[in-house]
Amino acid sequence: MAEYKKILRVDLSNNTLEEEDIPPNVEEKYLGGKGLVAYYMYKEVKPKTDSYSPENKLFIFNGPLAFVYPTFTKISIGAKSPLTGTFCDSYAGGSFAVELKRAGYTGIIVEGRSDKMVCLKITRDEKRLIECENLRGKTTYEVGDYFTSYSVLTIGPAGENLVRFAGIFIDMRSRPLNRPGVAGRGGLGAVMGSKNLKAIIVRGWMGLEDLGLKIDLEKRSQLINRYMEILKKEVVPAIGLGSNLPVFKLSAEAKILPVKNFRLGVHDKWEELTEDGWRKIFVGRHTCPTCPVACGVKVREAGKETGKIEYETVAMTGSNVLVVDRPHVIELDEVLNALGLDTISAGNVAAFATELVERGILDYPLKWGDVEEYKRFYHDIAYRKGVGDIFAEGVAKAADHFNAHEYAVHIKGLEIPAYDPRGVVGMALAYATADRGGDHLRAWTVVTEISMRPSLEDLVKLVIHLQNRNAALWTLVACDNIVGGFADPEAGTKLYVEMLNTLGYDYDYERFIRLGERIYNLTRLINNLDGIYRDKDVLPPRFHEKREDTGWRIAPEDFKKMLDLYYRYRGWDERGAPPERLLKDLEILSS
Amino acid sequence: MRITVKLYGVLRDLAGRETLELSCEYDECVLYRIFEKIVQTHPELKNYINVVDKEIYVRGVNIIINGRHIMFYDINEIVKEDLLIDILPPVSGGS
Repeated sequence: MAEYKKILRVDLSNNTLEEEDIPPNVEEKYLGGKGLVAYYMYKEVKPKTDSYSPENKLFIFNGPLAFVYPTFTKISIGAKSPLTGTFCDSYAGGSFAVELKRAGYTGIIVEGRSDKMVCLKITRDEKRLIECENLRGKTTYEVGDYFTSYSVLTIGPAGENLVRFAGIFIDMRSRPLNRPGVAGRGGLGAVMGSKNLKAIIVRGWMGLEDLGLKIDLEKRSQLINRYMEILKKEVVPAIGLGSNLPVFKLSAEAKILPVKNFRLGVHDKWEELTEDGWRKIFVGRHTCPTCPVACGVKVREAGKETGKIEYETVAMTGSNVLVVDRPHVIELDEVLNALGLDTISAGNVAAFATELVERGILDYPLKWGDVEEYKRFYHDIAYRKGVGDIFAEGVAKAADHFNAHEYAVHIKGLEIPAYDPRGVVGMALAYATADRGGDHLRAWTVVTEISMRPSLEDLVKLVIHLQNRNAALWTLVACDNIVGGFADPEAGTKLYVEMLNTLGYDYDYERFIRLGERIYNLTRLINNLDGIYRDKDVLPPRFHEKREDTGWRIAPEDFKKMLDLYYRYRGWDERGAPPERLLKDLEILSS
Repeated sequence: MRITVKLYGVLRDLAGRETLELSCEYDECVLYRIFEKIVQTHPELKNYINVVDKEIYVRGVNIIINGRHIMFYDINEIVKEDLLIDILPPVSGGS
């Protein structure tokens, strides 16, 4: 068992900071990252807590392999989501996870609410809250530039203004020092804003030998060599240009690209936005500390530049609103990053609003492809001006306002990302059963499901396996970009388990996957206690409709069959709840 | 029954045409047999679709039948209507 597992607990209401140890039995059962986020949320945040109340807490955890092995640079951030009202965890690269580890912490728990805008500073010499009123209203880039010699986790104006899909941004700088990261999903930036916490800045000081870890150094060295070979031979070629940009061609050819609020699956200008298109204007790469892969892509065209372009952004804020030329996609990306908005939700909200205009439900000057109007729209949302105030609530609440649920593409309040599940039906189940609402990262079935025997039973088992495996991997916290590039994901996961065991743990592959199952059932328990059962595990009406271009649809009875199988294989009851016996078997509840 | 197979992307290039027209009668009209027939008449698709022991295996293609994904079909069931089968092309990469 590793030795050095400390949390910094920050009470903003009382302006206090306290260190505490993670109980060894908790650490053994939940490891780090997602596991600890889920455990502490279950233990400390009451069901149905208002996400903007001081009682909601922000959980920020690195994983046991951060700084110990290369590439474990992601940080897990969680809270009750302003969009869904239930469990949400979101992940960001950058330097924060490593710097936090080098400061001797596994995690930070932020609770309460400050009267004034504050920042949390963690260095060798001081750990304290500092007044940050001077940063109120600043963009994510301005905050990054202000704290030049720290890892900076911050929000933009959207988070301060409680936009329900505001994200948390790491190391955003006008001239990035490393790959920036975004924990975009679920509105966690607005939770931070509700607490009047503008930023957390960390500068670690410890070397590996200072952390008090009992590491088998010889074995570690062997594993790093093996890992480097895999990265070189498998992951780097699979990642291509980087930032998941190869996925764009895949989605376009499979006709699962979101276009015009998911009414179509492809558009005729899609080739401009493929990896090859971005390669033409590629100017450099950024990487996270300790990671040799360098998947962060910097591009420049027609005077527009960004150091953070990714598939989801291109598809959601580009294709989905018919912005199909690269300079304009770059321009919108920069606006959203500066304001501190999640690009997936923003593109979904913009498409929803444009469809409302087209149908005569909303009087606002939005039309497909009009970049200037979308820029204005996003600003209006971030500052809650005019109609922007309605859409700042996210698609689900905006749909309530306009009584337009048939056009709202979300699940449990979280806007759907960039894969139309009518073409890849595993994603329908993955979205509907994702523990944070409509999300693709708990189980990304797209490539696997088109190379298997067409069997609903096998597909459901695949979704469950990926959810469990990813929940386990995000305790470490592994990078999904790298895991997605493994030629043999099971072998890659086993290598990670070997790495873990050099720290004194005793895992094998099966036990590791079982850990993921434990966590996924715990997050489901949290969902249940927040009132989420079968009636919320549903698809948006749009996916039950025939698609305008292909006629593809998912019939409600087909979806029900798939969900029934899912519950059965999970061991959940008819309502979609894990029974007490299962929770005890998984050691979530004590026997 | 009439069966229209619509091919996309590289499959279209391989087959040298956009659509394939087939027909079936009575007990031939079972999904796995229909796919057997598609592959027999167009062996160039064999790298992407194969039928072994009444099971359909796909490799990097998406198949949608009358707007409904193949995952939802019982491939041993007798088909009672004309079919439009979309076969989407191979893909690679992803995360």
